[in-house]
Amino acid sequence: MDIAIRVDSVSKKFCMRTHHIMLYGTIDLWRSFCGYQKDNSSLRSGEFWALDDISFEVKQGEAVGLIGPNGAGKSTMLKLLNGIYLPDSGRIEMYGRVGALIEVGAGFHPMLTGRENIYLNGGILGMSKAEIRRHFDEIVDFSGIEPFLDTPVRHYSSGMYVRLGFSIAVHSNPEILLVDEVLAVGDAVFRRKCLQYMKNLHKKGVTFIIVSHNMMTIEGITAQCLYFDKGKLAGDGAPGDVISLYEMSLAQKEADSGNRIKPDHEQYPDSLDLVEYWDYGTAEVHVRAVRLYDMNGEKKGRFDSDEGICVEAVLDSAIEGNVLFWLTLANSDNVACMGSLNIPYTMKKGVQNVRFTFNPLRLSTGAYKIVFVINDETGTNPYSNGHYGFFEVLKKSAVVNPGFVAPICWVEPEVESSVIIRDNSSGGTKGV
Amino acid sequence: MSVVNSSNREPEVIYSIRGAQFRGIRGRLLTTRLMARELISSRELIFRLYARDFSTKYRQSALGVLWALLVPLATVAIFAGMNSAGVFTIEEMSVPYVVYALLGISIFNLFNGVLIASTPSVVFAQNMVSKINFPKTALVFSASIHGLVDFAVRGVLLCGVFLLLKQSPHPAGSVLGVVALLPLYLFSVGVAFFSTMLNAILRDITNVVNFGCMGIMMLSPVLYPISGDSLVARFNVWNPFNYFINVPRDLILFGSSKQMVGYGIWSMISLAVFYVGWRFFFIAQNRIVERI
Repeated sequence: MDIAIRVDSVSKKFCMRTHHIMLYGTIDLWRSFCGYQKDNSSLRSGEFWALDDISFEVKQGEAVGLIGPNGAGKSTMLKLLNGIYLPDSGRIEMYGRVGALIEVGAGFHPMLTGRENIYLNGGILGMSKAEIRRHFDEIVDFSGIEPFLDTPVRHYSSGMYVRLGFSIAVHSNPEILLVDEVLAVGDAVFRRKCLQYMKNLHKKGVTFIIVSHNMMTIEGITAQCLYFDKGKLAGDGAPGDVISLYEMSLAQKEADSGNRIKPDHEQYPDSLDLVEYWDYGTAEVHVRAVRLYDMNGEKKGRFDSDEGICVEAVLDSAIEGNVLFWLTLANSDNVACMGSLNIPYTMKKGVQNVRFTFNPLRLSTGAYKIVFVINDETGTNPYSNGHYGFFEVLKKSAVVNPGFVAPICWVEPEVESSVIIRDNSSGGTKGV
Repeated sequence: MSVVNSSNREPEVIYSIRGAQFRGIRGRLLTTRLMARELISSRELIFRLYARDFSTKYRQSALGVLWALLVPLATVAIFAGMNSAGVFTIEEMSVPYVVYALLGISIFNLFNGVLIASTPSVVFAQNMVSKINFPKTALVFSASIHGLVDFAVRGVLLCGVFLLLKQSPHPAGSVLGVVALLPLYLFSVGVAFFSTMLNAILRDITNVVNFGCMGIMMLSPVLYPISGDSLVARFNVWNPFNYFINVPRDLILFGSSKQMVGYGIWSMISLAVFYVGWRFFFIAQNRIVERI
């Protein structure tokens, strides 16, 4: 397969302070005027590397996701690929006409109508008047803003703004499309429509680079994923592996900041870390360790989605009596993906082991934590309330709907039906 | 959807510290050819950006395009009033003062209008320039059209004044006079490229331009002739506006001018200023975007 994008040892630096921007900007402008290109591989005072020695290749027709925390350099990378910024060192080769959705509607003028902005924005994106005329109806149809076409866009909602901007950009006939988290404001129906449109473009051979914080979008569309962290390429590979690496890293950062009522790592070095502890737990039960095992009793930190998991909690209790455990497996966004609430247990004073088994573990790829709450028997007064993590899950088989999580308490419902309107095309009758 | 699928092909574009290199464009005068290519490919965009600015500038304005007439009219009225009140004396001239001054200020406003519209153009469009890759030179060229259109609007006013005062411009000289504005326009766009670029880094430039234009107008023969052996007259020997304003005005009013040599020299210089400014801006446009 042919190369679509080649990024070779690219670095980009920026200034942190305005006075440096003014000073270095003036010096650099003067230098470029004199035709003097200084070696830009070193930093001047007040500068930092937004991207540092990045290399990767994208094959034609591939979809690649860029992930990473805020300020990691993803958007800067996209702007370099689009030619908005130039690299300070290294080189970028683009093999095809580039279309970019870095911020949809960036070229809109609020005073102009939707119709006028289609022509204006199309022109800014490099479309000729004839091209815009040819695609005009498609753009309007796709955006769904036809009733407001002659209304100034300042009266548009943010969703309408995005609809129109997205619609213009994707009709600019790109061979390489750069997309930067632009669909966050659109409603679910339009978002799905856009994702479907992008998938269709992808099928036609358009190369994609997508920046998103939505891992489901990345996993659902891309075949390769690049993880940026502090301006460096921290991971490059299949989306499942790279997303997992990213989420583990996020989780580690979270764990570093939590230092209250921690597990006893000296005695239980293989325990998960406490990543969060809620103040409204009375801490009368100290969770000294949370350990994970597979179905063979082996300690593990990484599970396949179709195998079982055993969560062992070592509890040091100052109380005795009936308690209710809440034990859920949650992702790093604190979304409980599976688990169980109100598990009855009779607590004894002293140290005890309690084991919980989930078999199979039907989670999608990602990093998860154990949310372990020990309530009194009324379920309202927590003795302990901590999040312990993280462990990894890798989806074992193809996931038809990425991100869909099957709960462990899967119950087949009773199904009843009654006919409201009968199709009488075959001679039947309507009735209630 | 067309997709490139030839193997062993060259990249469409290569980005490096040297700038963007496009497929198939190599050899001598590379930058100049790239500049010309960009101008040709962005000609529709230039007019669309102008149409955007024109339509939004006057969309919620009661007087609309009349503002292009009101400002020079008011300035000339003030000077005519000061002249008749004896605040300062303007030497005898063979045409009515109002015609002389209105013509002078209309010509000067071509420079003034181009510069004032262009200088903040990139900063005003900062959201767009930092999010979309398009030729930033289009912003300066489209802003420069404001100066031309305003001049054309003032041309209508001038015709009215000529009729009102029963004066007639020199028929052939009028055509030559309008053509003779080209060096001033090129000079203005060349300077505008520099000021726009600098303004992206140092916002003071907008104020410098406003103040500088006022100063140049006062020191140049815009509203009054400058003659004799004064300091200002000696300065005007080297002042390009002395030639850029007097020659077109003389051609329109009398069909000839005595300052053609100086005008010829400054026309050559204006061409160089235009080219150097454009080239400088073209090379530096990505660096400017990074620093907005």
